[in-house]
Amino acid sequence: MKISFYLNRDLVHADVDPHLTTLVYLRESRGLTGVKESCNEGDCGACVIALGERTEQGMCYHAVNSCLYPVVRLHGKHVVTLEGIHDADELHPLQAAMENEHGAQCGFCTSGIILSLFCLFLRNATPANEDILQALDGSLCRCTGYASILRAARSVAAQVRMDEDIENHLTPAYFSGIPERLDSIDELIDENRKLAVAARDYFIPEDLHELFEILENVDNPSKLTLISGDTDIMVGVNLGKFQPQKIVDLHRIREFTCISRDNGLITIGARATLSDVLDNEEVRRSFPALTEAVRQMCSTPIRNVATLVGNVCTASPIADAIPPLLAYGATVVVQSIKGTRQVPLRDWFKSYRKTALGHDEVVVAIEIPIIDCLASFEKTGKRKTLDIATVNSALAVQVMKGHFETVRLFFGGVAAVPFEAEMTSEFLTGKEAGEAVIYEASRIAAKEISPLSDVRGSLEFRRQLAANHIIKHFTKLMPSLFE
Amino acid sequence: MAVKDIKKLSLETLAQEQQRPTADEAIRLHVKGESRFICDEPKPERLHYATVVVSPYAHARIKQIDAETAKQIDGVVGVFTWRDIPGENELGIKIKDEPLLPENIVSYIGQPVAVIVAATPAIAERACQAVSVDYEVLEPILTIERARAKNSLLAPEFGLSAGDTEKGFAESDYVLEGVITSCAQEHLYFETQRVRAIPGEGAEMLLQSSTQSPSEVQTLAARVLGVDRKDITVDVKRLGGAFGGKESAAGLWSCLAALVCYHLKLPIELKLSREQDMAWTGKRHPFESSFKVGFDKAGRIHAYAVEFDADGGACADLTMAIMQRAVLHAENAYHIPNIKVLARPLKTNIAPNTAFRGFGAPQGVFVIESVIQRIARKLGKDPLEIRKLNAYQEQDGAPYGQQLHEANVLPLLERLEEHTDYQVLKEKVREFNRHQRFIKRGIGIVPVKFGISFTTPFLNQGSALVHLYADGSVSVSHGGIEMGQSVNTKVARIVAAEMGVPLQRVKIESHNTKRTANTSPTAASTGADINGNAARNAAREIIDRLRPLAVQLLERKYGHAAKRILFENGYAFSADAPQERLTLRELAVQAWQSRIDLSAHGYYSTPRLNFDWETGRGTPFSYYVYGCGLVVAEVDLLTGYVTLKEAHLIHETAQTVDERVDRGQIEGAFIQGVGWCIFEEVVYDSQGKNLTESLTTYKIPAIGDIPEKWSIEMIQAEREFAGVKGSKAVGEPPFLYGEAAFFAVKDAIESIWDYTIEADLRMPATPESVLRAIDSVSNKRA
Ligand SMILES: Cc1cc2nc3c(=O)[nH]c(=O)nc-3n(C[C@H](O)[C@H](O)[C@H](O)COP(=O)(O)OP(=O)(O)OC[C@H]3O[C@@H](n4cnc5c(N)ncnc54)[C@H](O)[C@@H]3O)c2cc1C
Ligand code: FES
Ligand code: FES
Repeated sequence: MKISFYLNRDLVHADVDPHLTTLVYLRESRGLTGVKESCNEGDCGACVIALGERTEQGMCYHAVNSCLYPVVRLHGKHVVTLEGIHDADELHPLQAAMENEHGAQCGFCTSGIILSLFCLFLRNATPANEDILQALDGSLCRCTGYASILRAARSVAAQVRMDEDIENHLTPAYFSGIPERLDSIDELIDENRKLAVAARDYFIPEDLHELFEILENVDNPSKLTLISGDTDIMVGVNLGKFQPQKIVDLHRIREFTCISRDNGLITIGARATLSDVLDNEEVRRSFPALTEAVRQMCSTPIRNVATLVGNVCTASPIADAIPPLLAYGATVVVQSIKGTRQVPLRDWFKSYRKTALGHDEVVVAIEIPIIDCLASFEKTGKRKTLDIATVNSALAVQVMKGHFETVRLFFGGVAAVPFEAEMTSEFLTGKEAGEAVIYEASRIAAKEISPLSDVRGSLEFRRQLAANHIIKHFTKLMPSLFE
Repeated sequence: MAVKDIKKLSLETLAQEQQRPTADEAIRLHVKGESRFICDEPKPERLHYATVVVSPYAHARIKQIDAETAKQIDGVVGVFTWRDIPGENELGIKIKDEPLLPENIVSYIGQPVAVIVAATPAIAERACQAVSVDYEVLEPILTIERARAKNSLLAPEFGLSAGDTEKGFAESDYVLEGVITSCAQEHLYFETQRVRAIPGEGAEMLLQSSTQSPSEVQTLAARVLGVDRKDITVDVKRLGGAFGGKESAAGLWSCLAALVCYHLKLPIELKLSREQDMAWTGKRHPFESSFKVGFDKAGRIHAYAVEFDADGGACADLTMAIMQRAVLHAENAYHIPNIKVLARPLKTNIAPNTAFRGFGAPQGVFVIESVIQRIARKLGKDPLEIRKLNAYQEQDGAPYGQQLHEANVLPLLERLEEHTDYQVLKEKVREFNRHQRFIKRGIGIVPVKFGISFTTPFLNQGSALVHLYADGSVSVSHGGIEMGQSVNTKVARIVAAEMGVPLQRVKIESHNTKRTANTSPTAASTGADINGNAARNAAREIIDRLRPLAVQLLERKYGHAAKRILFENGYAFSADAPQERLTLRELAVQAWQSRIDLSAHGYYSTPRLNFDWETGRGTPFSYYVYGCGLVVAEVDLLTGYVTLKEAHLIHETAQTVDERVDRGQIEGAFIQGVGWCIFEEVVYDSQGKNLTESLTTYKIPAIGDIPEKWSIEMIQAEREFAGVKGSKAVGEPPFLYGEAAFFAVKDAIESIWDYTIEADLRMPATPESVLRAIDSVSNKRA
């Protein structure tokens, strides 16, 4: 499959195997060995690169895990590695600061860390401490204990604060010519797409019409795998646990939307990444528990690629966005050549990792009604960032005259599919808000679930977490009850 | 302001301008993405890839290996088993219990039984699936408890004692007994195990191995191939982290690659994926230790008896040495008149546990520190008070007889108290706890006394080869391995200072067994001490040879005789007339043309060491590193999540060779220690399979987990008892400060019941462990 993109300063035309990851491509075919592989499943950040895309607001650079990023998606983009962040012989201010603060010991994580910070500083040249921590939430380092890395990042922010001129040095001079040069690549796309379809086992439809054509005409639709961010699918592929026979890559579908609001609904389209959701003010205002869930999901470079729709489609019992979406009463919008149908999210999960999606269908959006309620999300794993939940939960409740009304409580990690705690909800409904009632509810919740023991926690632990989450939700939503 | 000025700006924080990195120093290469690790080197022509077929059973008899189908796969060039080993099928150094490829019995999941070589990694992987091995499954031993019951030992138990513990217990006001467990830990070096084997002419073979012990890899490869060590060259430029996990453990992978390279005469790459590395390789030794302690009303310890049971895994590996260090650190920083320590190296059917930063000391120290906490709770006193009361004083003797000099336990604890305003801090924490229902805070303190030297005395030797080129630049090969601890930076600074050359004219070469031979592993925090001293000796020798010539040349140039020649900044000059000088380059050219040898081999062996395990007496350590740490932790009682609010570390570096490097070691080691104590949990299933074999399930501390407020004070005092150039080793000791985090969590939990009850908090203090501990106290009260 032929693709064209900018790799640092250079235009690259390449004929690539669509099944390759960007990491393998950069190391093996381009000799860019500064990009490192340490886990090959998105969990360490050693492979992070900066990926530039044209948007309405101009070029936008995101940190991306190259080990999970299909190489074909580089088409039309600007790939930046350590070689491309500085002009001539000068070090980029971040490189200089990392050197001065000794922010690299063995050096294996360093490339990913600098590129993650690079993307942060392009967006925000004077990041606060929390911004730095968030930008590096997908980057592990086994050597430094992170202190020197933090000092390096802070020192660059401090330098910019002292002298704004330095901000100009954060972007290499050649970057200014990139958007124009990317425009010229566009012409190649048409030809490219045809090649894509011709590849037979890797399809990149441009619109829904083409997509449905593929879905209709394929001899065995069960052999097709749809991918959005590909973060979930690619992990399985890299570990040799899943071999998709035919891939339909949805990233170019023209009709897919991002996030919009009307008629008391917020619609999160299939294009919306978790980062889009996290940064969206409307979502934050209307669905704080969803924003909180997304904030605790994955890591910055994964969120930059993974989609919310993808999360819902995994139907994973520990998918973090699902409990809050359930609590807010979300609906899945599904489309096929026959038309559109709406599936309440509660009816979406059929069995372990199986959804109500038909073979000829695709999810185009999630719709969430804006309702007036108190809602909260909780997640407990082994680590507060970049971890899969042992138990997660979301609670949405309306309180009228000191009484609980319409209680919706959902758990993840306690059953094969996301679990609705009906008994607990029912118990709470109509009760007067108070500590004793909440404690009783927490006992009911612990009994209502029947979790398993696994590597993330024992059955007893999960029960206890379920109980404690209920208390935790109310301590956040109605702290005065506990005084 | 230009980018250049920015550099200066943050450089102000540096102790010395001299510490500015040079253009080809590793740190510069790392930030530019130009540093090369084994798999970053250009691929040799016809590079082939090896993978291994491993045992899926913890204990089984191999009945048959059928590789016919695998051999037929296009692109597969060979499948090898124990039958193909031309030399001795043995990797054990002291205890010979580890075959390269087992002939008969497999003794852990992940043990290699066959090696496959193919044209691509994917083909090799596919071929692996096609090999069928017929096993008769045997009963495995998977726990310390079971190994103890079956008396399954890797080597005889051993120990040491001082005084009379029975008498000590009899004289005590209180006697407590109990069991303390500490857990395994995955190294998680970022660069997984890997090696390239490249055939040369005749019997020659080059191994580019990610190892901390090139000489050991050379020895083992020669042994299994039945060739001489002279035929095997091991070359190591740098490792992407090791932490002990590539000390002995790298030998297996290197030898497997060497074996197939020997047969195929093809360049071979063998690289473990993250999952393979985690699933198949050994970890830090979990310990289960039963203790008995006798103390008086004040809290003074009269007698301490402890038995360490370590899960050594399937082969001896370094278990004996690791337990020796645990035994030699059993009393940590406390003077205990009557003490008896016993070590039981247990054999189980899990991957051979191995060296990991601290090398048994963290496990040994964890027991006595837990015991101190118990004494404090028993007496209703502040644990710090008990620590101070029992702290070593100047001239005390360790249980094995070594005199403590410049003993810095009490002064550092007092300094920590003062620095953190301890009484006020403690009151603040209690105040916080009185007002918070669902979150609690606690304080933990741990002092450290860490002995420096290999406890195997003969390993305490270093070597180096230094060339002064006729252009005045310097090449240094030394016996250390660069793995992120910056031993190269330190050696370069030492040589530059000794020869009076600017740092950028000194190049540290890869470690190569042809340039430095019979080297010790880079381990036990000794890398910079022994090899820095060796390089210094070599540098000094060259300079000494240049001195007479410099006198001559200066006299010829300026007309008068110099008495004392100094070498600085690339010049040689007379101490009396510094402006009359020669460049080192001039001098080197002249020396070369005068047929003066400009190369020198340097050697160093650590003085004063002698220790005899028969008697349990002697001087195992050349000096001790002292320090202490205080951590304030916050525990969410509902989720069990731990947040480190504050950490204050005071660490004796003595006269550091590079302040930034040492600070980095302290920070990194501390967080790794926190990882061991709080985050990192290795879980095996009932069949001995590691379930935490990826970063998805095994969680090391992330950037958000470091203390919100963190101070480090480096004590840079002059010390008579220290390492190279008056500095002290720094690699391992700060790991132990991580234990303070554990005790802080425990303290927070115990605040629930006003410190009257001991919580049964198990390491690692994960949310599950924390909630269980809270529960256990509640149940005790109920
Ligand atoms: C390192 C790492 C950390 C992670 N952490 C978390 C976490 O904390 N919490 C969490 O919940 N998840 C986590 N995940 C899982 C995953 O990233 C998320 O579930 C993500 O939202 C999936 O989105 P995606 O777009 O990448 O999905 P993809 O991988 O593209 O697809 C996921 C599934 O959805 C299907 N699918 C995708 N798009 C459509 C569509 N439009 N119509 C129909 N079916 C579709 C695919 O066929 C596939 O089955 C993590 C993953 C990684 C690699
Ligand atoms: S290699 Fe670890 S995140 Fe990609
Ligand atoms: S410097 Fe070694 S992993 Fe970060």
